[in-house]
Formats: sequence, structure tokens, C-alpha cells
Amino acid sequence: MNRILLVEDQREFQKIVAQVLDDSDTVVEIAASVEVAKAMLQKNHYELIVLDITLPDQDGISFYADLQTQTALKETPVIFLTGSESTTNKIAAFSLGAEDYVVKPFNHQEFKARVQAKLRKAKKRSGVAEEAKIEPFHFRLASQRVFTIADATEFLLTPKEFKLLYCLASHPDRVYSREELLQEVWGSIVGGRTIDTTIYSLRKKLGPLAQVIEAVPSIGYRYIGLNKNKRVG
Amino acid sequence: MIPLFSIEILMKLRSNLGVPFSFIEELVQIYFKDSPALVDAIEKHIEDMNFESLIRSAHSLKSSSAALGGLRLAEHCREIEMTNPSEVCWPVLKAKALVVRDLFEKTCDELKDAQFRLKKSA
Repeated sequence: MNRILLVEDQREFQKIVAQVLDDSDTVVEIAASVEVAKAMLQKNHYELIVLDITLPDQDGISFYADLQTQTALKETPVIFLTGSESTTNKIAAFSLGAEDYVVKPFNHQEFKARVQAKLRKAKKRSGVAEEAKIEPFHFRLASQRVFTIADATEFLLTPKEFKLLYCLASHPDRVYSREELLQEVWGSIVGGRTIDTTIYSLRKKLGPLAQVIEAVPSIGYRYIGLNKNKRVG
Repeated sequence: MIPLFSIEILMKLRSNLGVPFSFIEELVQIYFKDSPALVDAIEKHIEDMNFESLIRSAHSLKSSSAALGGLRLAEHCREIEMTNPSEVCWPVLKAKALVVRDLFEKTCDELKDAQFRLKKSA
């Protein structure tokens, strides 16, 4: 079930938007002011926020800027639904990261399609970004933490070590060249020894599980998991 | 000249949303209940020379009027909303507020008439 927070003070639009978006998969909850919206956001999780700009206690743009400073809320997609055609507002909204900006009066079907597209996108994003279990590890991607699946022992990895392990583990048996790994993890080709140094420290931290990463002579590394018999080539 | 009122907007609203006539009636009742305070607020903010609040009230009245077919009133509110803050002429705004009240009353009459016509055809 998708929960949408509609921040809108005009009762006609509260009713119209709720009618447009409410269906068997979506429930719309209404806040008539920024103060009420803040309280609702503290208590509940919403998949999406539909935000007006002209509100009684604070303008929607500055409220959205406040949301962007809060880690727990900055990923929540926001669609502005406003009577303001001001280019300045549009630029401000998109610069802050708004997903969309819809001007009233609006086409209801189009608005619903836009909202549904953003919900799908957000779901896909969070599905990819939450966690992954790749034997013998449990990766928590948002917080970049890794544990053993068996007994939840945590490995204290640096961000680069985490990325490197996750990159290799995501494609078991694939041989990565050093250049490929540098590109994937560092985003650029840095010093030639960087990969080997990071692999060394990563393996040290993994202790007995270090065997999951195998060096491929003259090329680079691959992830073989715990079952070495699985190896190909 | 922009028409005073468009019943087609109400009809389109109803068919787009796929709602019964009672839904439109409720929207119109909300408008009758909430909008007079916005018209009063526009006059008061002009008296108080409170530009920011004036713009906010004009903006709200513009949106709700346009949504229910009150096109000329919406356009007039838009003109107030677009006033350049560095060129505010309060006597001109005061005159515009008189027009807002007149257009608001006419829009309400049109809405009552539209309700009657839509109910009859429903």
C-alpha cells in the first residue's frame, strides 16, 4: 500500500487530489499546513509527498529545503502541485531535487500517471538500495555495512573496501581486471597499487572468509564464494 | 474578454474524476464557505498594506475559482498576484479589490445556477 502525504490548505484541492489518487493501492493523507505535515512525517513513513507552495505557515519551497537537510526524509520524492507558474519557483523546486512540478488547474489523468511513475521509480530505487544477501555476507547498502549471514558478525570496512567487496560479490565468478575495479569502485584510474593494497586490507578484515576473493594472475580478482569447487576456468 | 464563468469546467471535472454530482456539489459548498474569507482578506491586506499576505490570498482565490469555472475572477486575482513588488500602487490595488468582490458575487451566482442545471441534467 502506497501512502502519500498531500500538503495542501485549500479544501477543494484536498478533495480533488484525494479523489484522483486514492485507489486500492494508494491512500492519501492530508496536512493543511507545514506544521501538521512535520508532525505527520515524524510519525509516519510516506512513499511520496505532494506539496503546495502557498501554505498558511511556511512556503512549500522552504519547507522542502528543510526536508532535504533531514537524512530520513531527503530521499522521499516530492511533487509540487501549485497554482504558481513562477519560473523562479520551478527552478528552485527542481534545484532542490523535486521529482516534478505540476501547475493547477491540472489534468487529473496525467497527474495520476505522473504520481504512479514516481512511486514505481521510488520503489525500484529503494528495492535496489536496501540490502543484499550474497553468501556468506549480508550487505546493508544504505549504511554500507556488511555482516555474516550465519551469525551477524560485522566487518568494519572502509567505504572503498565495502564497495570493492560488494562489486565482486554481486557478480560471482566474473573476473574483474584491476582497471575495471578501479573504474567501478574509485570512478577513475588511480595508482596501480591501489587495488592490491585495498584487497590486502579487505582480506585481512575478512579473516577466515578472505578465501571468497581469489586473485587471477596477471588480470585481477574474482569472487568465488565459499565453495571453491564452483570455480570456472 | 475572458468569460465570467465556464460550466464546462465543472462538467469536465465530474467526468474526469468519474464522480457523482454530489461530489461537485460538495466542492461548490466548500467554495461558498471558504472563499468569502479570502475576498475579505484581500481587502484587509490592502488596507494594512501587507503585500505578502495579499499575494497569498489572491493566489488562493485564483486557484479555487479557476478549478470551479470562475475564469474571470481567477484572471483578475492572477493580475493582483503578478503585481511587481517594487511598483505597488495601493490605490490601484484597492480599486482591483472592488472588482474582485463584484466578480466573486457574480461567480457565486453562476455557480448556483450551474448547480441547478447540472442537477437537472443528472
